[in-house]
Amino acid sequence: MAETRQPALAISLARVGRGFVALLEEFGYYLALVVESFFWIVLGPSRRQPVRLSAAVQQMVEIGINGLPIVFVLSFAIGVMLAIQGIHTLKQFGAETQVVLGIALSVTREFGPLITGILIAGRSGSALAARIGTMVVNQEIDALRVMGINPVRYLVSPVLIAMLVMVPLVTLFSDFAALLGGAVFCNIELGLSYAAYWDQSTGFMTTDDVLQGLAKSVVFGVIIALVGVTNGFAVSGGAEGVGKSTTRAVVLAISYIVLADMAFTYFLNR
Amino acid sequence: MSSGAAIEVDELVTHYGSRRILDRVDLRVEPGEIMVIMGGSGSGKSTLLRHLLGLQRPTSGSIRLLGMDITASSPAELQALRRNMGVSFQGGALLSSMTVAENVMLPLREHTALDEQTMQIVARMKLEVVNLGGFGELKPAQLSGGMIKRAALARAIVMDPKLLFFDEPSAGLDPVVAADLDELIIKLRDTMQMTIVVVTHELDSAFKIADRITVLDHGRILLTGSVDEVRSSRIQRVQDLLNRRPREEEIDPDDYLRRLTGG
Ligand SMILES: Nc1ncnc2c1ncn2[C@@H]1O[C@H](COP(=O)(O)OP(=O)(O)O)[C@@H](O)[C@H]1O
Ligand SMILES: [Mg+2]
Repeated sequence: MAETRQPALAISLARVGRGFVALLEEFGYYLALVVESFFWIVLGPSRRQPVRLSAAVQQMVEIGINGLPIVFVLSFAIGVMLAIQGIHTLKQFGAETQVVLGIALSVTREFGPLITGILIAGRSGSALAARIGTMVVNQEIDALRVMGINPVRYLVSPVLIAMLVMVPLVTLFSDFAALLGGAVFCNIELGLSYAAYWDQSTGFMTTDDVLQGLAKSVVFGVIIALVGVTNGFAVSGGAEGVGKSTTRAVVLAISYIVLADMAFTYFLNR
Repeated sequence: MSSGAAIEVDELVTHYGSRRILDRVDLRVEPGEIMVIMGGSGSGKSTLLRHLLGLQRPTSGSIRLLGMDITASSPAELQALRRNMGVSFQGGALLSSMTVAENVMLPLREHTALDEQTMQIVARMKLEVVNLGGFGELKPAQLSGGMIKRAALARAIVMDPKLLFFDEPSAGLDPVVAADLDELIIKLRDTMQMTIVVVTHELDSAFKIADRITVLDHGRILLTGSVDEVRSSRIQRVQDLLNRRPREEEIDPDDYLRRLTGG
């Protein structure tokens, strides 16, 4: 090969270049997938090829309802953790009653959406990649295509609808669970009544704080759907391939969620 | 051009990456005939089938199905054509989340305005055709290999397609079950006048069902002819395949050396 004679720098530059192109390609693919999914959601019915609402509902149950217990437990724990940290820090200034404000803002703007996004990525993103990957391996996707059933309409659009609805709803649920966790700890540690905690929280928070978190969660939902589906469709090489893609889907989705969160927080707090 | 052939492939060339898989393949299938595409493993049978099904785009050449060139057609045209095509994939490719009956009904649900009860009746009828009456409520995972293939066949014929494709119908089945499936394929041609393309490497099955056979080897067509013509062919590679003789690789010394030294 000619490449073996090139200097090491050129080779690594070429590798970086190829990696960058691959990344661009992947993002281009995500974009095309979103556009096509929405195309079917909006125009499918008039072309007599509607998106299956029953499939979307089934996905919503899977994504949202079945994950609620674990979301509750972890969000509650985060609320408690924030309260412990907050009280500990604020005590040094004799301002521990301010902890309620800290919890309220951290939870609604950051932790609620983030923990929800990560949990749903872990539960549903991986399940999605595995389900679609198995369908690829079993030629079920080919079968859909030769039956004239568009796989994006049939499989991706319902998932996207479900994510767009459920991730924000679960985020709201997570917000409440975390606030409850904070309230329980403050009640024990500071003797703050639940009514007072609730009044203070809602007094400090604006609708914007909650909406900011929910806007993030919508983006997280889209990320989970796209990354899960894309890695599923990209499966090759049998059952082993499904396993690899499933892992990749979870790691990528969580990475993109954290990076998107950072970007969001940066731009929204300028 | 439109000379009445059900399938007409012209000078088809395809690549995976830079590797040429099919090399100027020509193929003509007449309405109502069973054409068997035969060849050793890796000869390009599945690749040819995927192109016939419009699942992959060729490098060059044309593929006419029922008179329409699918390499140049719009998605809507292809969509319309697909209602006239049925496929039975090697592993069945039934949707594992649905029952057998729901699988069979799927094309009806997506492409027709039939009411639920009518669809169920049609699905039951098709399941009877493939001798699976009464198995509709089972999930694919509960079926044996032979039953899965027959259920996939029921789904493939539910829209009464003009073209029917099989990928390795007898692969992985015991001889008796495989023979049943062969009978079924012949019955479909006789009773429903379907044009059928079967991809297989099983000689017995090929000779039993074929009206004509195309022999594919390393991406090229060696020969197309009747069963007798193929049997009596004097082409060495065809005889090797028929007698299951391994291919004798001609080794180019330079090439061999280059491979060894990794240069
Ligand atoms: N997805 C793929 N990517 C790269 N090469 C492939 C792929 N599928 C098949 N091939 C290659 O194409 C050739 C023909 O394969 P295939 O059409 O599956 O043959 P057959 O069905 O006759 O066994 C083989 O050499 C195979 O390695
Ligand atoms: Mg094959």
